[in-house]
Amino acid sequence: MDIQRMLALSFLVLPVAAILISNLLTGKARRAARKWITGAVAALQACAAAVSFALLIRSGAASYPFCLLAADTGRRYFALTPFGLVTMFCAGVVCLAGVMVAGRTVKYKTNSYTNLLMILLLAMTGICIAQDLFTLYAFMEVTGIASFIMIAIYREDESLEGAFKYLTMSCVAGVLILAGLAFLFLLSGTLHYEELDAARLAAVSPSARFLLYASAACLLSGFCIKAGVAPFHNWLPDAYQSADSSVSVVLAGIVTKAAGIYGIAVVTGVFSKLPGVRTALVCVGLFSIAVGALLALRQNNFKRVCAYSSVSQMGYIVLGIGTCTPLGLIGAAAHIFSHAMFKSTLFTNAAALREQTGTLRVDRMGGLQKQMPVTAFTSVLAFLSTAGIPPLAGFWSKFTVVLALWLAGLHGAAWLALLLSIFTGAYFLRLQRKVFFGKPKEELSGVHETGGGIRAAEVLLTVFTVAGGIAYPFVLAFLGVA
Amino acid sequence: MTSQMIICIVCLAVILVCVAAAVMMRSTFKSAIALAVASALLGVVMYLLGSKWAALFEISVCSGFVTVIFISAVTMTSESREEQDEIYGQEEHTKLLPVLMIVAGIAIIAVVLLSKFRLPYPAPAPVRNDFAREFWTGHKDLLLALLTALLAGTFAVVVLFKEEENKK
Repeated sequence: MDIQRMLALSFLVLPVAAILISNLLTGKARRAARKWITGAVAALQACAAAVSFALLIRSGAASYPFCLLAADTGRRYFALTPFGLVTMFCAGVVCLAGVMVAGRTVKYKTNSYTNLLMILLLAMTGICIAQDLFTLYAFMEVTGIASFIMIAIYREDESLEGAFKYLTMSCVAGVLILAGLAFLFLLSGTLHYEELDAARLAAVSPSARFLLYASAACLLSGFCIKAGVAPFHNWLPDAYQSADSSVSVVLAGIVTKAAGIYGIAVVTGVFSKLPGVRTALVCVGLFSIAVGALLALRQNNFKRVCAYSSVSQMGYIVLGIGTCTPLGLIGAAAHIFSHAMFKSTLFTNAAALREQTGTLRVDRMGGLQKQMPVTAFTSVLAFLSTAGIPPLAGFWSKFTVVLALWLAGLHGAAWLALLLSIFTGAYFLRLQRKVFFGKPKEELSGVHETGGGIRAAEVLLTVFTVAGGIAYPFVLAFLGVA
Repeated sequence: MTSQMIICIVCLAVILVCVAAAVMMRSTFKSAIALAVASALLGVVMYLLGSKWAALFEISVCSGFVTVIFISAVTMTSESREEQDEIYGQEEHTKLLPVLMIVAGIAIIAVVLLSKFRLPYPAPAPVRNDFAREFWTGHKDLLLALLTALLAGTFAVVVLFKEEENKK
């Protein structure tokens, strides 16, 4: 068995093994052991994805197809692709950060949390390696169920409301995607990526053209709901705000990207030759950047600011995909990585603030920089990366997206994307100034720096944000782009 | 008209009624049940039209697990009728909604039938009579997805109901 196949199988086997082992454990030490096992599996997933990515690029192949059993050679069930591996790497790192934060925030139901996290990891992996749109949809539904339970895990009124909104919007997305798949199947007779020919689809007869556009509209809208892109974002702020911080880290960090953005990328590939798809995606992307940033300016809750910021940043990823060029896709993948890191950092900061101050209301905080130096420092770096300040990861990914827009002839969109990034600076400057700088609040005089898993997660994610920025030119050179 | 076609049309009509009822009902519990019925009937239609995998997934996940989750959430957050009235008021105008939906549905069907628009025939799919063999050999990727969905559903029920049972 070659190393690439072993790594590919590990993505499916390890989460299942973690669930089995952690449920078989008994005794006093099992709670800690479960978290260690879950964290180790998440870390291994990240390492395996990184190694697979390097091996795949070195081999020069576009993808690495594989089956569960060596005997299954007739059909291409799964495949590792560079875009999928970047998402899987981020899933591993973010799930590891989620487990670390959970060590401080999840006091009971730890078994349920770790089990659901592993199911979520497995489902996200399934999305990234699927080679058939219906399989992708099936795994996407699993992420929906697991996310819902994770949001509602403590069954508090607020979290149940957020979870219910998420589930309702997930159902709407599911219906749209299923309808889109039915239309597509009607036209092509297949949903397998290899057999779906974009050029042949674009050349269907005029009578079937309506069905083709209906399919594209349903699929893109459905995946946009899952991605939380404006104007399909209503569920996102409530779900992020009401969930436990360890769950928010995972939801904001990776779930929307694996369940939504990855689907948009696949569907855009299928409909890339269809006139109008590129324009639609660029318009949605720009609208999302503007709406998310403007709404973030008005929020008074730390998590809600970060949630609306996610809506805005998703717009950049959609813009990259919307260019329908290899450079745009690289920019989108890079922004998936940078957003996963800096947004998870910000939600980890939220966990630290909640733990220490007991609130996430921005107007009740102030001057925490001296009392919580690590949280303040990591938060500022995450903000700088979000705003696209060099040399952090966020700068390179945004730069690549804007460059791809420019080279694709979308000069107006490139200028708008640049101008709208000013809003990002505005809402995060306001947030940082109110929370960490300015006049300290008397009632928060006893607050001190957080410790344990939360602080470790903050540092780990910040290291990735900085290292990602420094290594980006080398990665581009490795890819043969630079 | 074949018996299969008649069953499909009856199912689609009942789906329309169930969906309208789901939107109209004040009780979210009853809405969830109506949605589950609509989803199950949609699974039947899919099965009759030859899409067995989609039918299986629709019935097991959409009609099964999602309904369990909906009902669990509803039972944990249920409000009294008085509280609902206070929040939503007496919105009598929504009573017209199912009538409008049914009229709109009939209008769409009439327009489609009267116009020259015709859906293309589905692309020919290979004939597979042995469903069991197809299940185990042809779609291992989807089988993995379904097993993961089952696992997620099981944990969902455990997480949402375990503590309640302990309290009782």
